[in-house]
Amino acid sequence: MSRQPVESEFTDFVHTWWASLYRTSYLLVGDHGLAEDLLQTSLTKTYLAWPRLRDPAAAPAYTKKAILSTAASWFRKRSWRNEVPQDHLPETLVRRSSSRGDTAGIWSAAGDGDGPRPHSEEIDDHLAIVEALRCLSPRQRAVIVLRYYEEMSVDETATTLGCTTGTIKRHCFDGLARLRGLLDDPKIPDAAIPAHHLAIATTQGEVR
Amino acid sequence: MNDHVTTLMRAGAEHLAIPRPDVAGLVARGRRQRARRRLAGGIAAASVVGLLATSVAIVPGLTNSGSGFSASAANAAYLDGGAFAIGSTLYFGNSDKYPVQLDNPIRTVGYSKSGVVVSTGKDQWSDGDGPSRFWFVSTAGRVSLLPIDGVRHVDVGLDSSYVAYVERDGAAVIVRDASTGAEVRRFSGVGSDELSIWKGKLYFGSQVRPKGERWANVLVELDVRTGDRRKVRVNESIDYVRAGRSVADPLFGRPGAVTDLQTGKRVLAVPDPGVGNNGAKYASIGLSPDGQIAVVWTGDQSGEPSRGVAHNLDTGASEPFVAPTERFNWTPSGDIIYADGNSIKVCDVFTAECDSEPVLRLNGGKPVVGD
Repeated sequence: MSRQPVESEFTDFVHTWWASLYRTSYLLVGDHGLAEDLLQTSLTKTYLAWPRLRDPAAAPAYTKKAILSTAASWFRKRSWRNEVPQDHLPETLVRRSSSRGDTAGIWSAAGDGDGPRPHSEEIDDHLAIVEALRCLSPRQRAVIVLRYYEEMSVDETATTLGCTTGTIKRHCFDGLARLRGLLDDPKIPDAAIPAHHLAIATTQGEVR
Repeated sequence: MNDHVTTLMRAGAEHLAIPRPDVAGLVARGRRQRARRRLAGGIAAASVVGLLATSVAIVPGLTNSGSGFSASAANAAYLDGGAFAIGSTLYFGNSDKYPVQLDNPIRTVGYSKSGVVVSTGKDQWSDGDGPSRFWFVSTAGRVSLLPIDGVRHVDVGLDSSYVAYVERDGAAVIVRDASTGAEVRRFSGVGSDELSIWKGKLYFGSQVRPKGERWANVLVELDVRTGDRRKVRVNESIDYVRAGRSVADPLFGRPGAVTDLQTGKRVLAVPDPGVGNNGAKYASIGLSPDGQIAVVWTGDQSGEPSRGVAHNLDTGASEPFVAPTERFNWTPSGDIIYADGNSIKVCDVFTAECDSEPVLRLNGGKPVVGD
């Protein structure tokens, strides 16, 4: 019976790491409710594993792994293979003037003058990338987050999401292109994607 | 160029609105899942296993066939101090005199009357990679493979030689005599999320649950000898069952309790932990393998260590729990066994007084032989 005594350690761990882990969760799923659900599910796995963690310092990495594997299992479900339903999807997110007349740091979805829509709210400059990520398909978003936020290699990303490196490269290419267009940011690179990878992915029927 | 995307994402993530964590809810959810997933109610020293390095070396020159392994002495040591495992070596009693070597890392250790049931696998984690194999290890050092393949839950009878398990597909609950491997009883079509065997009775949870995630307060009791079955209803939710007693962990808004299933008597009541300066408190109840001692832990969301109180459920006596460590396990007789950096010790739960000599000395997580 070791589960009761270690709860104080677990509590301390959650308080310390919650924000960081939440950020990863949110970026992966693009929704606060889902992010909380994902993180709670993953932390529950950590709680269950706690007595056999040799070193409590390993808990953040363990939880991160649980987040990624849980998210990957969600993505495999049919309902996750398409973009999250939204009323409107903006073609670009552009700076617009605030009510105070300044133009810096204010973003909105382009062409949103027809009325209110989910992504037409004024967005903090820094959050534009977060908002743009929400416009990607779940798989594109996951690939971009793992490659550029978690800084995983293509191979690591493929292993985590359970698909081929060709599929990862294709999602990366498409995702970056979409982000570049949404943010109108030429600094966002083209993801180099050899033609044969596309061909392999297509012939294997793995492009979703 | 890729750094630009990374920089954008990190800056964006830093500006996200972060909700506050519901730590008490997380702990409660974890407890419920742990209760359901408990592999062996009588797991003895699994956490001791978990505290030590997985790669603890095989003790050279000491095997179950080694000289000096006295069956009667090992049995006496086992009854007094239980058993624990390091790596693939099982030790009987509160000493290092009676080691038994198994083929793979030991995942769980379940106490029975005449020896222990251990599971082994590729690694030492009870839910680790690959299947587990189950063995009966008598206090005479005899090791026999049990015909148990693919299980969902296992429990070992502390007061008998029974090992009970739910098949992986949940189709049947099977009871075997661990000392012979023979099947004693098979109950089909019962399904279970929890399992406990005590005094010839098998208890398992009903699959019917109330709304939400809490367990139904109904158990099925099966008489292993006669096959008779009856429903047992308690007034509280059931988080887990051990030694014929059900435990309802206290939650905010819900008192906790320990109920004797054969008499229906509530042997311990724990009040709702309530709310403190740092939000909702939480509490939990740890029951010794024989069900006679309960340690109630109370904590809050401040991250401060939990406070424990040990209760003797037979006499009603209670004392603050002052163990020298927060990570411990039980011996069959209700002492605690734990590993610190240098040794494994057995201590009294009420006085925290430890045996004068440690069970086993450690050096870098490895057993020190001799000395």
